[in-house]
Amino acid sequence: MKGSGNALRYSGSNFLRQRLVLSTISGRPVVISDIRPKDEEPGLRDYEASFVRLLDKLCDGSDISIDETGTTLKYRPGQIIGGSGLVHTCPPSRCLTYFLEGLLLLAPLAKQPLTVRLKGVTNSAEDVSCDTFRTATLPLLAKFGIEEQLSFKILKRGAPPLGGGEVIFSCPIVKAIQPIELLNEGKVKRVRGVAYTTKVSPQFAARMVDAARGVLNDFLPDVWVYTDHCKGEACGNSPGYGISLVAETIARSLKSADACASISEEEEMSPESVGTHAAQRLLAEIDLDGVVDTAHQSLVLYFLSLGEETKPSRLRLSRLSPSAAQMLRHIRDFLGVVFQIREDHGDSGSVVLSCIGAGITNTARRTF
Amino acid sequence: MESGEKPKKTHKKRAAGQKAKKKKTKQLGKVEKHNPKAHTFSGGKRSVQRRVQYTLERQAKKDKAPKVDKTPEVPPPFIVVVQGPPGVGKTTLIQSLVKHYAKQRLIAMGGPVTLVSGRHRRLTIIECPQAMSAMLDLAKIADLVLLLIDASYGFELETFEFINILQVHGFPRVIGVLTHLDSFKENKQLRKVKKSMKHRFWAELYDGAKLFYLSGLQYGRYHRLEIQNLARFIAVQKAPLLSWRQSHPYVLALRWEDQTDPTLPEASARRLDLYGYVYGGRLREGIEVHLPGVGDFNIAGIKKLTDPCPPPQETEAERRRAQARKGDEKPKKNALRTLAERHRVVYAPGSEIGSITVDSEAMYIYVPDQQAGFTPGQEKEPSELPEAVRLVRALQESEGSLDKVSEKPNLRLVGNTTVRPTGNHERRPAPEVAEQDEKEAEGDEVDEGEEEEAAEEDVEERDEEMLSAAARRFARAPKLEEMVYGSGTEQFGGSSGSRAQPENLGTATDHHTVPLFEDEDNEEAEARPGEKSSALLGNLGDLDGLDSARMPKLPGEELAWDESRKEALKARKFITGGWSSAEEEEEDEEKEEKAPAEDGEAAEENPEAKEDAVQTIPDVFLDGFPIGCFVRVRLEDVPAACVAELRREKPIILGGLLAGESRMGLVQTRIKRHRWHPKLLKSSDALLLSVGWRRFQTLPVFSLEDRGEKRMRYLKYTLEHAHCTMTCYGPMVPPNTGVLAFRSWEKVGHFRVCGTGVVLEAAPNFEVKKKLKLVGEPYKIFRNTAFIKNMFSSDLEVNKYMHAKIQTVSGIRGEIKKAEGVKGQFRASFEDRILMSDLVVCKCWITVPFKEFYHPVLDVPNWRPARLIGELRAAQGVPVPDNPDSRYGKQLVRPERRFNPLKVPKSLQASLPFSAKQKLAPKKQKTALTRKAAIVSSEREKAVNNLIQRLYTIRKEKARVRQQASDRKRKVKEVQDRFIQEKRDAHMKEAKKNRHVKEGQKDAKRRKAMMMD
Repeated sequence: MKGSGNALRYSGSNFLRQRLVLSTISGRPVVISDIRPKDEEPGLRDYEASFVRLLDKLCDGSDISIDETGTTLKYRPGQIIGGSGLVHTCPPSRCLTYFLEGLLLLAPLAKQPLTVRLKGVTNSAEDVSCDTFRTATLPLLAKFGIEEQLSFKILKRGAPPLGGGEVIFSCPIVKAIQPIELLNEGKVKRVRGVAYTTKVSPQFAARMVDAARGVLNDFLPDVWVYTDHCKGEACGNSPGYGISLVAETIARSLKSADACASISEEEEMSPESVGTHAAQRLLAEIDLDGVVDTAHQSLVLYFLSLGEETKPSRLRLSRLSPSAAQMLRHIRDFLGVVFQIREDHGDSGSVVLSCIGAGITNTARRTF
Repeated sequence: MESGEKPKKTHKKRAAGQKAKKKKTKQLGKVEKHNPKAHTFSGGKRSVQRRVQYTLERQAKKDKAPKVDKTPEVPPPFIVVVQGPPGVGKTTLIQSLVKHYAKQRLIAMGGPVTLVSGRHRRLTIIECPQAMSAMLDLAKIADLVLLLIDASYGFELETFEFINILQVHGFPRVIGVLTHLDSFKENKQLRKVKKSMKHRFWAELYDGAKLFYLSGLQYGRYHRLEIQNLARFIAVQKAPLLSWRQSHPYVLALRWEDQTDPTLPEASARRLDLYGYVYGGRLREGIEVHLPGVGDFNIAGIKKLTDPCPPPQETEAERRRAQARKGDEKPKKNALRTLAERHRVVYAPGSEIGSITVDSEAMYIYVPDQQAGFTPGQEKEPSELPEAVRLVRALQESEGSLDKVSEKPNLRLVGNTTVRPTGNHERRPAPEVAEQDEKEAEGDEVDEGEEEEAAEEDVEERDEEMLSAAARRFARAPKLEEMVYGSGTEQFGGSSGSRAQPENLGTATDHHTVPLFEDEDNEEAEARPGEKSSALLGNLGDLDGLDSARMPKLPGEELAWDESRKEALKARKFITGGWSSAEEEEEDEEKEEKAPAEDGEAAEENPEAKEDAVQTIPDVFLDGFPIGCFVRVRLEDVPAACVAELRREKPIILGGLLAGESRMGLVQTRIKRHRWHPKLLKSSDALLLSVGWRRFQTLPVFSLEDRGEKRMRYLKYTLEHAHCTMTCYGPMVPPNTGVLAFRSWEKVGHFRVCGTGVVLEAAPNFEVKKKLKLVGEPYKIFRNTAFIKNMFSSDLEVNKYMHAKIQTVSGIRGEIKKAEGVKGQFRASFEDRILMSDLVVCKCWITVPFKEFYHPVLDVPNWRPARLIGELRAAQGVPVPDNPDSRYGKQLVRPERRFNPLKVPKSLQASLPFSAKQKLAPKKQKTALTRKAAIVSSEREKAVNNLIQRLYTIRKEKARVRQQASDRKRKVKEVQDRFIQEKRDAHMKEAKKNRHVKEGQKDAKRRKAMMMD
């Protein structure tokens, strides 16, 4: 009915996921041009192409076209179908959470509950690790009423560069997203975490835990880090080890940090330095104000903007991360929702973002 | 005897007995139940269980999903639709209502009339035209419907059609109004008509639905008291909470204007301005809207205007504030009790009401001559005029306009006000908006100075200025939105049309345009010193940066953790620092208290923090316009033909669309043919649908769920009296939306609504299957193998159907094995040898393709619907195809099959035993001769017969003796068996009793545990 006149135009490859996801949810086509035009390898990277393919698997009726040079992507969204039995092999250049973060934004508004099996790298330095996804990201969704049948399982661990990990993620569907208020941060009462080792000595996990506790016990006695040593089948293809830490406050807000060592690189990180690094990152995350940590700002903003119109949603955040700021702009472009941003006078470091959601409902689901 | 003498015995009614009882119950309307104890509780454990279950079920039935009422404190005007057949008195009723509410005469009616009806209430009264499109559109937005019925004529089909439309598109409140009651001369007949019509009306709506009677006219209007009563009923009606209207913003255009550049040719696309209140949801700029009968548009601009019909409480509050400012009067605090004359505002552009007429170009004020006091005419000498008139004349004749005069510093129009000269006021100027600031200041002065009614355009301009100024002022303070969204926050304020069009959005949206983030540190330092105040982290300038939510480096991560920093962090963020255990416990207790109530809202546990936040954030959102706003919506590129067809009388509705609702796809609907529609609906025969805001024509495919939801089976026609599924191509709508189907909405003698239903699901694809039987014939048979022809036409087709199951009509099953040649013949094997005369059938299911036909209804005279199949046949002179094979009902008469006689070879015949041998010689029939011929036996034959007779007799006797003996034995056995059985029964009874006792004890225990007793 509508031509591409309705499409939103962007240039540059950055924030591709946000654009595609918001396009899918808002039903507005998007044209992304100038994707690395001057790069040695112009066009989409393998992980971006893989994400586009995953989106195509998830949706029905979408229309994706990439021009001959590979630098322009046209996307006309279809309907989010979901369903069980989806399998996707992700390239080892990015962690699985790169794909999961995108899926997580769409799956609650799909036609059928989603169950997907992803294969690839489960922990890498540039993305949030799968452990953090399980322990910090998914509990956030419960606040929006997405709780039951939400599960995530790491079947195999895969460290870069070869990957070989496998996870199963399932997500229920909802009718609409509830508007919520997340204002109270609360003080940290406990720290939990997971230290994993794969294809290295299980002793490494203990060393990481020791180092992390060494930093954190100065602040708090209640620190418990589980160790997860993968054996046999569950190992993946490359050796690796890392740690993911989650701090829980008395107001049940979560802040996470993770670190992992990449064995193949020249300067190998010792388990102690990995542990210390993660712990310090967690402290820095706690130091910043806000109800959610920097890695999850954009996720929460996204769900707030989808919320029902019945009442305003509010969220206290620290300074915005680049992806969160870009998410705000994208939300304005696609959904027309503009957040009101106020500096919080009570607590100087944080801002309160509020909005009236766009009232997106799940129009794909079936009734009887 | 003369019969006349004695009076006849009169009939005596029965006072007692069965007959009397029957009559009594009949009179009371009680029907005797056949089994009154059937659904009661008779006691015992079963009964208790049943009672518990019953109450639980009843409670569960009552449970409904909570509906959230989004209407604000001051709701938008309540939409009252007045509907009825022509000549029933709709306009008269509206005139009477306007007279009642506003005490003004509605001289000519044109378009909706908005007026204040009470302290909390405004009404928009709109007359429903006779066109089906208007009826559909108005049914979608009506809050209350006044159904006018001509009592002298009776019910008309339109009324029932409209009720049906209302039922499908969400039922608003309905009040029936009977008019033309004065045509009944006899009181008894009037009473009868009232009663019968009331009951018919109730049958259509619900028992006890309100029906008003308007008896006659007085001064060209209905009786005052009757209208007053009706008004009282209108006043207490509540707006229905309907999911579609709660989730979609919409506007009923009270006024529209064609704002196209007049120099453009007439056929060019128009720019249309619509004025109205926002209903249903937040109306945002740039969202897609549907204009029924015209098409989909993106809102080019919205502007908030001053409410032309402000709610009385607001005007009163303002008036009181103004009085308080003036200091003349002590401001009254109590609420508004009654409506004063000044509150009774009417906004009826297009109608002639009182003395003001508004059309698309201008507003006309009709001033009667006797009131034209200040207009200079042929009059007396100025000196003869009263002083007030002279003063006004002087003002009228003064050279300088007001704003020029106001530049002089000491002008005072109203007491206690000062006029600031422009230019040297102290205000923090924002560099980019400095120019506008001055203008704004001017605007302020004008605001303060001017109290009179100005022309509407002026008001709009002023409002625009005020709003933009407010938006700027608002945007200036925080700066944070600007940092995120770029400096163009005024885009989302009150100003209209400044939002970039999707085509050239590139500039507005891309992060190129936000140089703030390129080198954020410098900017931060300039804007506000201090690291904490920065609202953004990291560098955003990179077009091809790493797309990751995790920041590679957190701020403050690399700083060393010295003791002081540690302590500070611990004190601020950890329970271990400065957080006493007592407080923690308190917190825990609080949590426990709250936990059962609302576990999900953990964030709200600290009430202080929440309050603090509420105080610091005023709820002013710059995006969109809330419910109840009076706005002007601008649409660009509206087709000229449609705009030319817009009339005041026709309702114009602007329906907001949610994300994805303009996407095309297949929509599956549960539909039922309307029982009053004379025809069945046919698959792929064009149907007009009204779904959501839209009206369109499409080709439906009907289907039915088969075999427990495994398969959707194609139906050629809808079912006669049951629901079936309809799948059609069109814009996707959310589930549970009402669907109304018409074959055509020309005025016809029968009921036009041909189907009603509800949307089940929308998806890009559905599967509807229909049966396909491929028929072939064998041409060569080798035992269980046969070669089949005529089923397929190429070997490719055969290969596609390899290993498919086939069957002969007689039921011999088989399988397609391999293609034979290229003509579509194949080899098949069967479980038994088939005959050359057998037909071989391959039963399969094929998917029915959906035709992607979507034909939106445009309200232009040239628009015509796609013709129905019947119409096409009639036009082309093609008879209805009549395939005898497809006829139902008539049984096929097949000729009796004659099989060839079985031939057994002679050699085989000879070697067979007698029993297996063919009995070739048939049994001889007795001929007439043989029947007649007497049989004369010889001596020997007699002897033989005699012997055989005796042998038989002996055998019989033996059998009798044997029978007697066995009977005796059986009797003895029976006695023995009975004895054993009795023993066994007794034992079983005992065991059963014990078991029951045990069970009873167990049950009592359970009941005790469940506290059922």
